[in-house]
Amino acid sequence: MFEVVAVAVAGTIILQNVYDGLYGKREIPDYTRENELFRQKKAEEAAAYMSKITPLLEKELSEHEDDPVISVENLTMKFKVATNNVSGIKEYLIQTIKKQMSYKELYALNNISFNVFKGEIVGIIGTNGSGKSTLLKIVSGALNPTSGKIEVDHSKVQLLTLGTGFDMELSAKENVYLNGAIIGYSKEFIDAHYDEIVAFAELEGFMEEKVKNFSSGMVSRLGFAIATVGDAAEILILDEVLSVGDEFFRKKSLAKIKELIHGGSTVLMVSHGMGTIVDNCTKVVWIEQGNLRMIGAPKVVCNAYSHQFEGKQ
Amino acid sequence: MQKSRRQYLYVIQELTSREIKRKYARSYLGIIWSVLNPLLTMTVLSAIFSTMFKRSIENFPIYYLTGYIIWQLYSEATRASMTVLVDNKSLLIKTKIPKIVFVMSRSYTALSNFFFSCIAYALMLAIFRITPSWTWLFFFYDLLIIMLFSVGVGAILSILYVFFADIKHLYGVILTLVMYLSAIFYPVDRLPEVMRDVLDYNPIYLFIYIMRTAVMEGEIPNTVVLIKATIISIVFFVAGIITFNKKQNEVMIHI
Repeated sequence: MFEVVAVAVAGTIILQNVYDGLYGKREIPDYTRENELFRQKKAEEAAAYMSKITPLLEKELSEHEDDPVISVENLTMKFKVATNNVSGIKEYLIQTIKKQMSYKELYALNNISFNVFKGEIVGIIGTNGSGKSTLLKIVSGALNPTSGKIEVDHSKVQLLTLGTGFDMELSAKENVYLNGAIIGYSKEFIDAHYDEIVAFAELEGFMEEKVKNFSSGMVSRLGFAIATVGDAAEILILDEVLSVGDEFFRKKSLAKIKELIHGGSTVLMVSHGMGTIVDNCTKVVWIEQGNLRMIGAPKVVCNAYSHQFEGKQ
Repeated sequence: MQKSRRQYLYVIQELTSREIKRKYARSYLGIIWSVLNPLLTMTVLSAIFSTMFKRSIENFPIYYLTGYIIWQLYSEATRASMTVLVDNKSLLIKTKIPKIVFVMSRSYTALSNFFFSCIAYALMLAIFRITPSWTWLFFFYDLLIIMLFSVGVGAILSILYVFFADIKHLYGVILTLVMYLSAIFYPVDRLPEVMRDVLDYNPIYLFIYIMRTAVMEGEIPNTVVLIKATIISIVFFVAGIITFNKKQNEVMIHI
């Protein structure tokens, strides 16, 4: 039995090598130079935008007496994209040994700086793939940036994305405890606030039901209720949360967020709905292809964002 | 610090209870399967092998069961740990607790299942009239080093799995090989000299050996074996934690 397996394995390896020898390895382009140029281009872009924005940031800092709760300075996040698809150990080993691994660099965030002060509602806008989610992950502490500085107390940050983190096979009640624990609530805290969560999510009578039988609206209501219960979150990060759900719940969650802000919370929100942003935010940050394009009053920035393509077409 | 450690324990507890609930979500007997499973396999294996190895092993069912539950503990813990990061993607982004806690929760789940299997084990010990002895305390020491070893291996596997999903299949093969090298259902003295040397470096076999000597025979396990098993466990545990911490950020990017 074992002999057969051994012969089969050895045979495959030999055949593979013969094949590679006969037909040659794929030629893999060298991206070193290209990456160098790309880096320069990105640095120039960042410098051009920052020269406009830096005075604004300084002015903002001088206007506020207290220190910002989130301070982001020259934040850069680079991803390496493997240009030849390596999907298995064998290929990885072969290519590492042959030094054929080459990467293309990708800037998810390019030299970004901004400050968020206590009590602000900051909206982050940008087209898909512009780096918004990466920024949120860095602020919440799930990712570390490649370079740059971020000053924020991660223990105070609460990230809320829609309907994620629920285990469909478990009941809603079990999910409240699981998610609560993950977010950092103690068992006593959840016990004490359980009724409040259920009431806010308007799910009385459904809590013993499995979450897989819930509608997506019910799931997001539950998620919102867990994340905002009590006054647990000092810095709340909302990823596309306010633009879904029925109208009534949206109003209710907005009211809840305003209440939280009144109690000293700070909110960072990502949304594609310009209406939501203009209506609720006090400041807007516009990110495009990893670059910080603009910071300022919601109306001004959203206007520029909505009209960005007009000149080109 | 005190508070956060309590929180980690609470998270492990929650993740574990969820794992167990999931595992038996659609079955009627639920957790009882953890008791039945070893008993059933023991019955079949004993029926096949006990006459074959009659001369060299007394109490074959106990001999087998000891090996089997330890093997099950290790393989379940590492196999489940391997996919833990990918399975819990969305929770990982949300949480602020150290991510190694997720790996630990999978090992802890296997340990909880192990304790249920121990009900079957205790039953069999009573049936075969194995007299309790103070050396049974090594049982707990053995469990401790198995856990350290499993968390270490699990941490390394979980990282590897994020980058190469192939590892899942490869590890399946490795597990089968290691199982045959752990002397779960055959007597060691039937092996050729060379293979016995190999077995001496298989940590799983060492764990099983410690358990058999301490519980079945009521003797103190060989000191050299104890030290060797302990060192291997600690080395793997430390290596696992270091690798995990080092690669954590890359994993979050990749996931």
